[in-house]
Amino acid sequence: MVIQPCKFLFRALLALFSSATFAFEDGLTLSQSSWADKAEWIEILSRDTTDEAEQILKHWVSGHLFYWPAENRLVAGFKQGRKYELRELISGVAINVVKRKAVNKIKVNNKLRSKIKQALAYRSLSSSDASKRLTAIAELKRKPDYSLLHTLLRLEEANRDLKTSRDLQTLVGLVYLESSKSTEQIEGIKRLTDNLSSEAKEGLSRLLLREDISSDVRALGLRTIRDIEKQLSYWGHAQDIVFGISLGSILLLAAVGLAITFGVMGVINMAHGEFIMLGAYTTFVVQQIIPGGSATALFVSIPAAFIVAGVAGILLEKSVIRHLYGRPLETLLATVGVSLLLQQMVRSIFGPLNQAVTSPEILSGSLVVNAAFAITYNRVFVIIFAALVMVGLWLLMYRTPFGVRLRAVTMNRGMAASMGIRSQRMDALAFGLGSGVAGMAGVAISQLTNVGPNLGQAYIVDSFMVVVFGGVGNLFGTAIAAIGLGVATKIVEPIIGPVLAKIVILIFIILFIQRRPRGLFALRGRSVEE
Amino acid sequence: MDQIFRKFTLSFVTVVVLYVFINNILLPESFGFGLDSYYLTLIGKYLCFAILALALDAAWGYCGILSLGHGAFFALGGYAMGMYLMRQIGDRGVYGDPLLPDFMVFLNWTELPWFWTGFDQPWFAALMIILVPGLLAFFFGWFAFRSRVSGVYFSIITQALTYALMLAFFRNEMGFGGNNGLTDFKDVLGYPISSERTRASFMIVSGLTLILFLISTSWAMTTKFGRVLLAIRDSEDRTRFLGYRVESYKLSIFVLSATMAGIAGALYVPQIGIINPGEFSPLNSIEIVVWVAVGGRGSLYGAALGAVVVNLAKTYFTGAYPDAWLYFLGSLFVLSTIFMPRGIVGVFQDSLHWLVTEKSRYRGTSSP
Amino acid sequence: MTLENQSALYLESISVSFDGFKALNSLSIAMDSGELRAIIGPNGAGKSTMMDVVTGKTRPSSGVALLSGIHDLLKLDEVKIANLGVGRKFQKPSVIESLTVRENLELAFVGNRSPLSSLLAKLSSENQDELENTCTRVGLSESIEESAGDLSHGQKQWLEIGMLLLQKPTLLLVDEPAAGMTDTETMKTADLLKSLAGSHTVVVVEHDMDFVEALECRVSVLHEGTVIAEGSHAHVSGDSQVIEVYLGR
Repeated sequence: MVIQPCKFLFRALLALFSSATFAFEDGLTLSQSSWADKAEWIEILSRDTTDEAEQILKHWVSGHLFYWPAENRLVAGFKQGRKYELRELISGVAINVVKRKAVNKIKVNNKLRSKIKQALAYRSLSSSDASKRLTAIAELKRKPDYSLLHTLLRLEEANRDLKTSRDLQTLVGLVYLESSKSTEQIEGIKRLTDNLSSEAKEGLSRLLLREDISSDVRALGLRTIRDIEKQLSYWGHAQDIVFGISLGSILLLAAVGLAITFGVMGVINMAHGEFIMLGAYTTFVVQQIIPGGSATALFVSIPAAFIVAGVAGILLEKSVIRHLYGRPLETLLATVGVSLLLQQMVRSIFGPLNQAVTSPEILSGSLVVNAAFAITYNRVFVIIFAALVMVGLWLLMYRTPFGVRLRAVTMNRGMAASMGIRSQRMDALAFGLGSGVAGMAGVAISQLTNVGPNLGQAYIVDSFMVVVFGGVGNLFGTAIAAIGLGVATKIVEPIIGPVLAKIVILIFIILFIQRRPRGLFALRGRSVEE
Repeated sequence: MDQIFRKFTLSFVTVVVLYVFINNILLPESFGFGLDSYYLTLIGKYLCFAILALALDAAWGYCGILSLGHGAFFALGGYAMGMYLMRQIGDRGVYGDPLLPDFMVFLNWTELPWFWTGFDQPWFAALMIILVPGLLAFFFGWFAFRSRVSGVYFSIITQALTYALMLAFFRNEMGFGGNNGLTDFKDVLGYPISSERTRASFMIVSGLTLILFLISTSWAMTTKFGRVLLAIRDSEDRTRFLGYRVESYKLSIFVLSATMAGIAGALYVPQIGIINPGEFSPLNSIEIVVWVAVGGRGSLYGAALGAVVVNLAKTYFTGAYPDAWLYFLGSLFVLSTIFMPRGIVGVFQDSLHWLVTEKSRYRGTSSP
Repeated sequence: MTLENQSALYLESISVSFDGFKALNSLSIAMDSGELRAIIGPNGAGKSTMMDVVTGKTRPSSGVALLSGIHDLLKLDEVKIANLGVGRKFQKPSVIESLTVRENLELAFVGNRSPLSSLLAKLSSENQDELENTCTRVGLSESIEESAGDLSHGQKQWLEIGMLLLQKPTLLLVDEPAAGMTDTETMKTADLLKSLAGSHTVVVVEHDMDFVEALECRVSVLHEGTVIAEGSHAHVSGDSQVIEVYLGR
């Protein structure tokens, strides 16, 4: 009578004070041990940091742990018809296929199962590998197990790592929710206040579905979950707006060049989209030339694209547009021809398929504020880039002599000419500027989407809409229009889907133009019609 | 000069139509002079394009309304016809449903959407072919012209219109066949759609329609109505001060033009056997403009000629040197706008004028 | 009957500003039915702008404008106003260049302006005769089948006058009819305008003081968007303010 407890005590002491590891040879003992002893073995195994110990526990809890007398060792066994396939514990390599009689199953009951789970949890949660800890927590969050409560509380106390502490807090909260005690449920709810993760929401919803909770708990739970939903919605809207600004920045970059050529010369350049495309392809080519350091390649691409597209613009102006001065519809048609030619040229040189333009390392990843609000770094880049370009253009237009001349020609061509401003030269330069900016837009766009010969087509209609909506010849108007349309699109999208959103926006602009043909902020004294 | 051109075009088309009528319809096949299916379809296609070009020219050449979205009206007429043809399939489709076309069965739809009702009747389909493009043109034009949107602004928003329609028709949920469109037609008015006789008949009908539209539209242009259109084109403000409700005139010609385009589309679809949302693509609409520009805008015959010439080139290039087609088309745009502002017709007229030294009065088209 | 009601044209306190520049500054003027009136003034005085307001091309920011005492000109657009019998001859000849002289005249001929009637109706032979007579009256019978774009500047002016006549307006607004014309033609024009008065209300805007004198009518002088003097030619030529405005400064 005394012997059993003594044996137990002895072993426990041994386990406590020795760094005894489980040896495979103890397989026989294990298979023959009592439930109480088995529990003890679990304790020992849980402290054993080796992989074998982990595998033993894992197989044990899933009912695949067997003792093989023939070779006096523990193996993993899987039922195959009437026989069992035996595999190595760690590697999983198949060893043999034997009859059921040839092996002894290491049995497990619910109590043990719970203990093993806790042990495994404890192991992974206290692993020295931070990523393993996080993964373990994430897995446990998905299926909060109340039986792990004490283990988790213990871990939480002992935890010194900031990264995991919040996760642990949430996990404990989720586990508390599974409790049947009101106090613990309340504690759980409290822990999950302001937690915007999906697990928190799910956990709270599950709690509220239960019928055995007190009214206090229910009230608190409802309040908390409603508050979370409100916050999620708020952040969701904020994200939509930021996405809208991001989209608006792209539209702005694409359209502002057009605003310049349209505003200065009243020229509709239907090849504008292709200048954007040229900028994107320039980025691709620069990346081929400067491999590896993508950040450098990107910064080189910006001026390169400006030059390539700008020169193309000047060439276009001198060869085609000049001959059609004063005939906007003809210019429109001729530039459509040029757009087709440019597309086909690019197709011939680079092939019709999309090319991969990679983003530099520093731009990968995203800025995550919370579960409902995250923005990728490349979008942030585009927003900043667009802002810089606008500032640059503003400085150019309003703080340099060139800009003054350009604006003079825009507002009153004849007058400007009589003051000695060579309007022909201005035309070429203005066109070059507008096209160059389009090229830079191409650089930004290449960071976000695929680069193919048809890239320009996706932006031409949108760019015109922005220019026409914002008011011709007005940088400020273009900016407002672009951002406005971007935000409007992103707000409407979640409601009716992207395609319908685009259609609705187009129809809106069509109707708007009919009410205010000069756009939002029309530059007085100039219109294409005149 | 115009007279010569008009007579030439009319006679040419009449001859072709008569030839086909006699050899493909009247005489039995054994005589062997009939054109075979390939040519019947090709010519029929060209004739439909000629009608479409004519439609555009009526609005552009005469009234200065440049629509860069006329393909939309063409496509709408085509879809209306397509819907009729789909319903004619009945239970002979892959899924064998007597009421629902295959693509609807595929989408697990159980009922025919409300807007498909009536399309099993040819008269209803014919009505829709005329009404749908016409009504769209009416509403669009009413808003646009009333707010005095004109020139390039108008052209740009017509592009937006056709682009929006393209996006819409590509969606499966719309119920027009999604990106596959409507196809696999079996018969029309009881006749098998791909038989030679049917093809010949459609070609003949296209030819007769072209002749009808050419004659009636040129007649209309000889009336005061046509002169008001020209006045609007050249001096819109002045025409207003003369007391003419410019918006009404613009709207009427725009609607007429759209309706003709729709009819062209409806004749086109049975001949090529398919209609899909790509027909709404902005590039398609721009191609129509090239046909008219190359042929000579403001001279309806020129537009028809341009359509045929450019499409002949397209057929040739896409067959022999597919890559070169877009180069050719692009260059055509650029060169014709710079060097041939009045198109082939203009070139002929100029050479004739140069040959005949005395001052001859001809309708000069000013730049819009 | 108030002045408003009995005037063929009544403008009161009409103000128009373009971006801060006051083109018309509380302008008030009234014409009797059948009157011939000359409006003179230096450049930028607002003469053309005043015409623009009457014909519906420009909307004033304030004021009253009545036609024949009953039609509120500020509520109607150019087309409606034109069809109410207001005809304007522009400063720059604006005929339809791609149409012939005959076709221009036909276009102007008073009648149903709807698209349908334009499509179906034809000028009756009486009207054809009237058209040809008018054409002769303006000296263009030889060029009647010529393209209007081929006419000389002076001929275009005459064509426009012919068009104006055929419109049969009750109120004629004639903007600088003497511009670009020879002396004889100028006199001819003055005679024509005088003959029209009585059955029409004729308002003539001019610079040429000799021409204005030949008109022998009441003169209103505009300056900086308002009427500074009104009366016979002799009276206004003697007015000190008028002299200062034209000669001084």
